[in-house]
Amino acid sequence: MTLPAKGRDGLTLVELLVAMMLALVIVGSVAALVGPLRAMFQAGLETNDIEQRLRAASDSLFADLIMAGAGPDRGSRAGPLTRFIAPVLPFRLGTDPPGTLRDDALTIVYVPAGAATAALAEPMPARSASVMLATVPGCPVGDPACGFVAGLRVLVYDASGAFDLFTVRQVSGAVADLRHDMPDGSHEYPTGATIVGIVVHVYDLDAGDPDEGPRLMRDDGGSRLPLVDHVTRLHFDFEGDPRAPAVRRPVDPARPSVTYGPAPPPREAVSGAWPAGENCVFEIDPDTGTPRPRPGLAALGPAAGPLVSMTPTLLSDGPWCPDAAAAGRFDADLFRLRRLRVTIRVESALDALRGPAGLLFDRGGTGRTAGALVPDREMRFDVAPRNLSAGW
Amino acid sequence: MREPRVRGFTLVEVLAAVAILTAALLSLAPLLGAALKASREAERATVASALAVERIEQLRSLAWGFDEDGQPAGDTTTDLSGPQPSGAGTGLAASPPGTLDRDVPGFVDYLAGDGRWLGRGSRPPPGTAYVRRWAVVPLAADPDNGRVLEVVVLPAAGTREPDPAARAAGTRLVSLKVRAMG
Repeated sequence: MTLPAKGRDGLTLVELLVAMMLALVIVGSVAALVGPLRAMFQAGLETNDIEQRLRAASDSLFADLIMAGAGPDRGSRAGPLTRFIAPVLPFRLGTDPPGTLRDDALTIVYVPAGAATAALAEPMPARSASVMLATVPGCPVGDPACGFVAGLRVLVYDASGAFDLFTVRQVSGAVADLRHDMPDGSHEYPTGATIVGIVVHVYDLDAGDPDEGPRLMRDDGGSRLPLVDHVTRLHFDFEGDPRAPAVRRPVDPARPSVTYGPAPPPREAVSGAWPAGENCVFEIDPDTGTPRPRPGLAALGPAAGPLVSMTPTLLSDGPWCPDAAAAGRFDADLFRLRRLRVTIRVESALDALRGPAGLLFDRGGTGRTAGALVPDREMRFDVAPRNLSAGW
Repeated sequence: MREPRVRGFTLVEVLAAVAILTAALLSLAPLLGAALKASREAERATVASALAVERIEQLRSLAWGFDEDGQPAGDTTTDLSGPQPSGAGTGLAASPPGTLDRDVPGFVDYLAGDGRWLGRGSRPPPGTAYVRRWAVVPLAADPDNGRVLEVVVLPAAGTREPDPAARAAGTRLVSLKVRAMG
């Protein structure tokens, strides 16, 4: 059978060439669009990711800082921790040597709502030990351990402002076996000292390996884990109350009350390494015999004036609380703290979206096409920890 | 046997098909624009709420309690409208009426799109993307000791804001500060 040649109108050569040319133009223009669109799409995704990481970092820090200084809601020391210890510390508690000051690391301490709380039924040294607990009003009915369970992180502190961190190893009846999480000390906690479940979060940066980049880390005592990747900068500025701490008048010698910070002990009582009637914030005025703020804690500005910037000198010149020998010692000026400014800078996770190191990029990348770069994003936010700005 | 007559597309038909396809694809382009607009709007809302939180926190951090003689004491001099707080303002004293509705010096500042402080006073400087106003109002139930702190961040006039209601409302935050013994 032969096919008839007539009646089969295929494309002519000219039509074929025109069609091919058209196809070429269409494919070419699509290809020209795809490259930049892909880069834009990737940059857009990365920008969203950077913002999401900034939000994650700031949300975590903000939530912790808002709570900083919250104390137990029951027991003889119910109320803010700020009456005993400074709950925001510019160093890594338990890791940095005593007396360290850093502006890129922070320890935040607070008692979560409903935390297990008890008193010591017997004296206890500042080292790993088993200790008998005494229940306080509000303890769960029928639980001699008052809510303490194995694995719980606890804070032990007393009227002198001395404090130590422990982890409960096990509980048997009213006896809790505690592992000391700080260097052992010579302080002995008296009967009646408070033991309470605690949150201690330490934030700092980890340089990471060069491929992964720097990371924001959070240490909760049990583990130090990355919180947000590709954080190139973490910085804290501190602003404090310009007024010196003061004892409220009329002075009650048996139970002095103060405007902020730890109240001095009664006239004859000894607190830590200080002379009788004194602590890290207050000394006895030899002329009047009444407590007055230590010379290092003088007023920094007008009483009704704005907060003052707390300089590194101010935060590292003492006096030290609870005393100069304590492992977790901190500068007494930290009781002034009213507001923190937190700066976080996040970079693109992709080298190809980062340009040469400079103003826009803390860490240089391989990207060189201006339209397809994602500059580092920096966020600053202020926090007024509620338990630090409640007073006076 | 006779083959049926088979014809390819003519050039005109191909061109018409390409034109229709192009028109169909172009009609999807606004979707991209809408996505970009939504992304910009989300960023704007994020920056605006961060700016509002910042001012609320700064107001909350001002002293507001009792002095060593038990007398009410508090910050009544801090001015937060500058790049740094200064002592030439009114702190947590009651603000004049209407500071949330118009630009009252001392209770307003102007910020760039990335949140940078640009200026203060009664007129926004060029480049203003956000107008931040605040008010300190005595709490009706306890006017001596309670303060209602309110901050509103509005998109500056001239910035693109698709929703007029959103422009008028801005980002609004309210907090309460009560005088307490430290």
